[in-house]
Amino acid sequence: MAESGWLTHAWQMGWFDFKRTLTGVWDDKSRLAMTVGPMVFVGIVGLALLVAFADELQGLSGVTLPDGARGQVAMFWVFGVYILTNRLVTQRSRLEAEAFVLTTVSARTAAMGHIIAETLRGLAYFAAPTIVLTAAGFIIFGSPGVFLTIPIATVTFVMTAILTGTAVGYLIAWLLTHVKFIRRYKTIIGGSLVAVVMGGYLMAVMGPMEGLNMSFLDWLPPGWLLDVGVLGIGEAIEGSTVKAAGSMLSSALLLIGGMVATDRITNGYWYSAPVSIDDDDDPTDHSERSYQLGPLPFPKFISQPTRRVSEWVIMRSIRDPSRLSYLTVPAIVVFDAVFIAYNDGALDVTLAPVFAIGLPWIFSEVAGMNPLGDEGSMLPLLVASISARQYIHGLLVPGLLVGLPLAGILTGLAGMISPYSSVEIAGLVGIALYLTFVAVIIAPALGMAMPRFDAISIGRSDDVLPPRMSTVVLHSLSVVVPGAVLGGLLLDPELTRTALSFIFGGIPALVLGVLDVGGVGWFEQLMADIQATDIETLRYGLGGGIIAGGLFVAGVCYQHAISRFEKYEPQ
Amino acid sequence: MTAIETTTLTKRYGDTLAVDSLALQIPSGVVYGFLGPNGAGKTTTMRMLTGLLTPSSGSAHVGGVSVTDRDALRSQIGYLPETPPLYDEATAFEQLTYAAGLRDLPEDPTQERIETLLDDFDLLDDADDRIDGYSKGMRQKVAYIQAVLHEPPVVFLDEPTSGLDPRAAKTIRQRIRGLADDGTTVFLSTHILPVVEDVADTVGILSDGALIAEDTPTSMTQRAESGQKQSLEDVFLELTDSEQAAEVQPNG
Repeated sequence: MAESGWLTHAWQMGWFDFKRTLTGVWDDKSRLAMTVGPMVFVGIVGLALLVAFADELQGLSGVTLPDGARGQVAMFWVFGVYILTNRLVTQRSRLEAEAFVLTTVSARTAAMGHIIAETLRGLAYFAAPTIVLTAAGFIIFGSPGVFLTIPIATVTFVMTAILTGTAVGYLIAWLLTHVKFIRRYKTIIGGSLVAVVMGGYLMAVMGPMEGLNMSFLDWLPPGWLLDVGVLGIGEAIEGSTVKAAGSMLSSALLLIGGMVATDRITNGYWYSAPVSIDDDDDPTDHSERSYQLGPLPFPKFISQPTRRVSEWVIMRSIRDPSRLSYLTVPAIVVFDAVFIAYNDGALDVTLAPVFAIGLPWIFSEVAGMNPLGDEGSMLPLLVASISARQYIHGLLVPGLLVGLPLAGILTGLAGMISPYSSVEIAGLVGIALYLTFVAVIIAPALGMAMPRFDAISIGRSDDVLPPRMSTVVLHSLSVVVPGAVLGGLLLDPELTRTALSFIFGGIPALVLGVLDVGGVGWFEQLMADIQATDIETLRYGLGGGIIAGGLFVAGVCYQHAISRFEKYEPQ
Repeated sequence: MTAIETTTLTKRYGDTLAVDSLALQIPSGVVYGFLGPNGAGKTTTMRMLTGLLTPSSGSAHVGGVSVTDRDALRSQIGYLPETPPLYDEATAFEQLTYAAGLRDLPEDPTQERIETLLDDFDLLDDADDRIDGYSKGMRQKVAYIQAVLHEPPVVFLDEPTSGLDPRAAKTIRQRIRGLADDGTTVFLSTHILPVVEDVADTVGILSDGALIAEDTPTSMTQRAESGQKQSLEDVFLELTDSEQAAEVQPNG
């Protein structure tokens, strides 16, 4: 039962939460850049494209909205729901300052406050592209109707995705904590589910029946919001009025259904304790207990403190796999690349290079992406118990002792089914080993330079949170970009040279040309210079430079991580 | 032998003076009750003495080791912060085995010691359950065992009896006294004054970052202006009153 005035309270909670987000983003400039940067980039690129093709767009008349476009919007909506569901399950299923909130307002108020905050965040995130799109729509098509239809479509899109993601997220969170079987085997179930969903998605998108046509998703009503958006354009692009009305009706059902479901589920979820998964037949033997702490057989020549840190890093992730939710991205990218290659009949050519880059990426991110934040309330004791060198070594051991040989072996095995020469296979294995080595070592330094702790200090200040997105992105770029260049220089240096000349010379020249701000000639000359570079010079000069630079950066990061732990003062 | 020694130990946060020229000389084998109102600087002092916080000026030595030398300091201290430092995903047995491993204690005798300590605190039957299902008191007990597991010469305890039932609190008090009797120095910060009265050999009272009184509990309760014996609580309230605090000089 909600208290009187619960909607006002929910609004106050949501607004307060949203303001906290704004303050947090503003205070953390790297997070600000990572949050605003992509949207500004999308806005600028979109604007540039609209300006570039303005004449063609103005000439449009009576173009029927294709099903593929609706399918694309629907796919984007499904992806948004997936992201929001994952975010809720891994980070936001319990309330911050829960005891305070639930003894002050009703669960309904808290749930609606969360939804309002998420909606405000979503709208703020999409504000810039929406404004650009609306303004461009008016300028190009001259119809004031876009001022109504495009914002309505965008707001409905964001709100339905949030409500659906929230309701599904709370349902999953409830299942994970209240169904003993699911709670016990959540790692296996979650992994299998992701594989099935992603496999199904890829089969649907790229399977032999549909090819790359996205129209197979055009039956999803959120995709019909595109029809609402183009209603205001006039006769240039014709959507379906029936589908526009249908999307609004189904959106209303989703919003109401999402709110009711969230209200019901959170009422049960927040006010009940999770089921216990402790074994009834507890082990009493020491050796059995010790075995539980050591899931991987780390050799005894590693000092005990270092070994314990390594063991616990692995054990903790096994017991609370939501800590590794950020690994979904590299796992999906690698899976996606392998699946597309298989579908195109090019698995033999693609698998080894994908493994050489993708496996170091995944293995290096298992430990050390947010070491200080991962320790939670243990951090002060840890700093007072173990030397910095032993602790950092403990974070590196799983990646170097298990990940590194595994990446090399799997890449080598993939190379054996490839058409590459033995020198090229050896080169790929070398890249896998080199990348794993460097990526594993730089991870703790990045994670400690940008630690992530719970922002609120009331009640749940010791919660463990996933690493900052900026850390994950920076680390991923540090692995994938040099890895791709090295792989390209090894297997197809001419193509790599062309790609580099286009990336560093062609694209900037194109963008500057569209914006008409000068400097085009300099980038065109750069493109020509790169194209003129001798292949061997590029291969050994750039390749050698990347390898030497990576090792140097790894050395600096290693020292930095040790120094950071030595000087760390818990707040 | 002096276990804890500080000279003009000072900590500033910008313009805020958290700890002001603190001078302590605590001999080995005593329980030092460290009292003070909220925000007096107790936690900051404990963090400096455990090496977790770098002093702004002055010096401090624990077990003869400078607090700025973290590597050497680790073997000298055990620390129980106010929030029990535990992993929710671990069982009590795993947590303590892990903590022992971090300190590189020999495995077999440590396993036996862990079992003995868990048994002493009535935790042995729950030792293989995950900590996320523990009550506050059970967590506190595990964290206490963790702080003393390696038998350090100096133990820092921040509110060790917080959240414990009377029986468990009594066990902890007895343990603290037992530690001191065996030669361990216990630096005890708490708001539960009867605990200090019960176990402390010396009491220091901190107010606004400065040590305003230091004496045995008996002497302190008899030193009030009236000349009549008062409870430690009365003395504490009297001394930490801001108007009177300025008139009272540290003793010792």
